[in-house]
Amino acid sequence: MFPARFDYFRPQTLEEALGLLQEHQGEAKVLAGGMSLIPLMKLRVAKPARLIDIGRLSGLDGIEARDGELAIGALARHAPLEESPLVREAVPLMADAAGVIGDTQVRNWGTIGGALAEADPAGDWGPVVLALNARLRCLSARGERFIAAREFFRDAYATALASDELVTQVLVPGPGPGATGAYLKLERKAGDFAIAGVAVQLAVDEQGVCREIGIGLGAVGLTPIKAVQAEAILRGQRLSEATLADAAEAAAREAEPVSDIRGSAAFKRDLVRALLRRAIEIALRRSRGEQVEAGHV
Amino acid sequence: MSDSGREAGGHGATRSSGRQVGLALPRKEDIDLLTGRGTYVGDLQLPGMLWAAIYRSPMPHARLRRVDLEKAAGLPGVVLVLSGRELPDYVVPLSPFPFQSRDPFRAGNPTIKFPDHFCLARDKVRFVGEPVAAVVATDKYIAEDAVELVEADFDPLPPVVDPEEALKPGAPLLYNDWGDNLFLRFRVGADGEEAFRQADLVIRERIRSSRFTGTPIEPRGILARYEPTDRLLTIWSSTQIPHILSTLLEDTLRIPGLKVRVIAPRIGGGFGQKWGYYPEESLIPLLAILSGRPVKWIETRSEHMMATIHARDQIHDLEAAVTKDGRILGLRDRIIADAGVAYPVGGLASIVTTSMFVPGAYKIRHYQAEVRAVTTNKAPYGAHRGFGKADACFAIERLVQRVADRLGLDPAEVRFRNFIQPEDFPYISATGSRYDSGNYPAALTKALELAEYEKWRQEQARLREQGRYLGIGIGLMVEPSSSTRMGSYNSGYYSVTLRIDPMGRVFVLTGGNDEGQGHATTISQLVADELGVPFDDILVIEGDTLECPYGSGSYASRFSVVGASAVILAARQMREKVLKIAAVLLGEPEATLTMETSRIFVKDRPEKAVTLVDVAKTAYYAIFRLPEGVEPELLLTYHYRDPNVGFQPDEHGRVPMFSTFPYDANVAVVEVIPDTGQVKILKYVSVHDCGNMINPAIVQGQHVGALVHGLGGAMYEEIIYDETGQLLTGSFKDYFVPTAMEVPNFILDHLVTPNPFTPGGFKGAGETGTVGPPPVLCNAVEDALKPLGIKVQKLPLSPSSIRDAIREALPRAG
Ligand SMILES: Cc1cc2nc3c(=O)[nH]c(=O)nc-3n(C[C@H](O)[C@H](O)[C@H](O)COP(=O)(O)OP(=O)(O)OC[C@H]3O[C@@H](n4cnc5c(N)ncnc54)[C@H](O)[C@@H]3O)c2cc1C
Repeated sequence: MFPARFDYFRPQTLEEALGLLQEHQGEAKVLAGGMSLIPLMKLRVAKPARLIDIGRLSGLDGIEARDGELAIGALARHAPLEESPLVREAVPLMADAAGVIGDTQVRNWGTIGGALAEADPAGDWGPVVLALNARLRCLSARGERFIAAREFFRDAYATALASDELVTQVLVPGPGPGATGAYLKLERKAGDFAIAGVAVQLAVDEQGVCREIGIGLGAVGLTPIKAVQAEAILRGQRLSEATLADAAEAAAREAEPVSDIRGSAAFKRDLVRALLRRAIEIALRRSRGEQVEAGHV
Repeated sequence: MSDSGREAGGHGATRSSGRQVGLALPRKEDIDLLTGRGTYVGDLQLPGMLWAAIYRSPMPHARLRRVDLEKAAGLPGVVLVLSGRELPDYVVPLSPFPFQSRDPFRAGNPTIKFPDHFCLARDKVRFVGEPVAAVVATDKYIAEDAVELVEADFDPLPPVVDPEEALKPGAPLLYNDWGDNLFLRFRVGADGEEAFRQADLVIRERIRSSRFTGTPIEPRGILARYEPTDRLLTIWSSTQIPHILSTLLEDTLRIPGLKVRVIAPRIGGGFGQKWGYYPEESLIPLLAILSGRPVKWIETRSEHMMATIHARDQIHDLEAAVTKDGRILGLRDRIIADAGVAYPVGGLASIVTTSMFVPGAYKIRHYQAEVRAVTTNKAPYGAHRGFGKADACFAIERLVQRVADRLGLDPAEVRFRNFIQPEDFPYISATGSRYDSGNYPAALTKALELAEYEKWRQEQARLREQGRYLGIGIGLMVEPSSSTRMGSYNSGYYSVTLRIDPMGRVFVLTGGNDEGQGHATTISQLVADELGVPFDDILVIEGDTLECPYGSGSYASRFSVVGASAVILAARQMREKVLKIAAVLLGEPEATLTMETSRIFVKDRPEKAVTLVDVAKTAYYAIFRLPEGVEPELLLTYHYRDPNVGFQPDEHGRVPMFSTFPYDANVAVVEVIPDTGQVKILKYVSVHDCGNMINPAIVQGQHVGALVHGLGGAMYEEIIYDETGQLLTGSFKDYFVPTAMEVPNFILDHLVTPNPFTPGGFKGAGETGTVGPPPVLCNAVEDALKPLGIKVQKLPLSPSSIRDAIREALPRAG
């Protein structure tokens, strides 16, 4: 439970951080909230020779609406994302997800950027950014680029980030009229990672036709999965019982779960069906202006 | 004991008079514990102290070819390295069942085998986590760095993981010289042929539990210091058995004239896991002796999960001879326990205990069981809160549910028809135990009332129409407490030393120790009442083998049974002595005197008085005034022997090993959500009887904690090895201990049937709650899923296992 030796840097500016990252490329790890990295270091699963602590850089934790987008700084912690009126109003599924990550300590320390960069297959932010079609703003000393959420997750704990790159912002397209969503996860006990999680973002017009739909699945594959077939089944359709059942089937097929101590693969597919149905139902009720709790089943 | 300010001040309220026993007084311990002043092994520092770390086997089963410590030894800051090769120079093998004469087992024609285990593996490793080498360094970081430099070569052997496979001929062997993997075979009871002949039908069921264990907040920890001049070895250890540990160490370490002092400081939970004799307990002292400096080792949670005992994990093949109206005439059980590696940590005793108590709360006169404890490539099997009795209750309470289902009877009714009745006490069970007292029908009746049983049965029928799955589970768990096994260190007595100093302060030293039970409070309550001194004038000292009388420690919920009895009787003896001296000082006959709040006075003339200080000063400084036959000083030791256990087998070879039988009636109402497999606990009622209560608040704390512990085993916690023998649940990320969020609002009530065999009427109170939730929640879930014909086969009741069963059953159920 005692980490191996490492050198510790605490840059004062983003530029300095990027410089250090470039200088020590391959040997350094960024430390944000430490909620994933520090446990791994204590178990000596991770043994970075250098640690670049960006946790106290200023200006990277904003949550603001800008140019039709919601711009969330990479250092925004889970707890403020759960509580932000802006988030609750514009993208309630983000508040749902933030509220069910780990426990209070984890939510007070862990950052959205760190969680995405960690790319834990069971993480809660992955399915959410997929459902929302978010983009990640990434910066290195070499320059800036934007990576779509769909392109970001490459494998379990592996992303499209280069080793000298930082995530600096999560950019969520401003929801269209009437759009809303919900995130649901089932876990073995409070504070645990999801057995499976489902994020839904949708907009339904007056005729009850689904105009916008995004579905992200968590903990049922090596990466979070965007359930594009299920989305296609729902898009432009009236959300009848039969359509919903078809979509749930499609999502269950798109999932690639494995059996583990949290549940069998078959169970996780069942959960995708059950959670998708419920998340859509909650989103629909929310779109009618109802206050509905989500997050946990 | 070194808690700063322990007992000093803190509690403002001085309770002056009136009976203290029976009051829910706040605990004396809490101020220190809640303000972070409790001192655990982890808090202790000694000058020159070194840190040990242990290289553990990554292999479940392998021949150990070579351990190379050269690189580790070369790391700057490393002071000492040690592998198993050199061990025989310093230690003898860990003794299983220390000093145990095998008499109590002879009755059951046991096969029992004792392998030679050293504190480090020598030629073979037998489970993932077995200590292989140790390093000692100037700080804990360097010690862990050095462990990473240990090089060991293994020749893998086929792992033994499934206990039933392990019993088959040709299975790979853990201990080659055994010829098989049978650690223990034991038979108890008599055939009962006749009961099976008379029965209307015989019901056969396989009931299986899962591997689960305690999770003390503080894992194990040891600090050792050796002073060669006096050959004095001092150990600070997070142990439940300080005295036994001192004796075992004197026995195991090959140093002529070695004297061992063990101090158990604050302990952050024991749950039975700190009851055994683990390799580290001789290893760390040995490292201190060899390095000539104090050495400390604190177990990490990962080490704890893999190397501290596991428990439960039994298979019961039961046959019940029943009548159509649900009476159980006879019972046969064939038990297999997955005992892991054969370490001396109390597992066998726990398995034997299971076999004694499968009949539970029921008047089953014909009972026979055969137990086989099988050694496997897993962490050792040991004592765990509920010690074997939880396994027995799981089997019988699940069986009763099945009997009711088969016969189409109400499961509550089946219980009422089979209960041992209040007038049957003291009741001699089929295996020869003497159940002290109880009223099972009253307890279950009360629990059913509190649960609104009839109402929920109607609700169940209504919801079933709507396709919802509501279930009600019932159980009455008898949890025998305070055990004795002659010839073992589980020796059936409890000693208490009472000392009053010249200023009238009262010191109580016992052979037990406290892992969170609140002894300082309850002992103070008992002494305050019996002696007539203020609660705050009493200091309780436990867990230091140099200061305290010998004792076998805290386990089996024995404190309130034998410990409290010793305290009461010691205090009565002391009171007699005080009154004798006071009689001289007052010039009044002893019989006319009494003592309250340290004031001794003539009962009908309270103004005619002396103080305890007057008496104490006389006993120390004016001994010429002492009456004939009264010794100087106010100091005595009382040894209490348990009157309700047996020391010799009876004519049937039976030895009553437990002395009192607290019990708990539970009723749970659950709803199963069919598409997610979730179990929602709508109601959980517990009606508990532990006899008279010394401190009801402490009993409630123990009981609720125990229920949560049981809830963990029922719904969340499981130790899982894969088929290659690797541990999959090596941390709290994978081993799901319930949090406050998972805990239902328990509805609690008590019944009081005093224990007639102890002066205070107390029974054990610390373990009973752990026993109920696994069978009761399984019964509830099975009841909920009855329309689907699902039998719950597996613990814990995870959403996946329930949903998987539903998915399979749904097409069948149409
Ligand atoms: C007990 C516990 C329970 C948890 N439960 C959940 C849960 O239920 N759901 C869930 O989703 N998560 C859970 N987590 C993980 C938690 O969400 C972490 O906060 C998150 O995974 C990592 O964020 P962090 O800021 O702490 O990152 P760190 O731990 O500091 O870093 C994680 C990784 O990301 C890299 N990194 C960090 N920031 C950046 C950046 N801006 N750009 C590039 N790379 C970066 C680091 O180098 C490191 O490799 C849990 C954690 C714990 C300890």
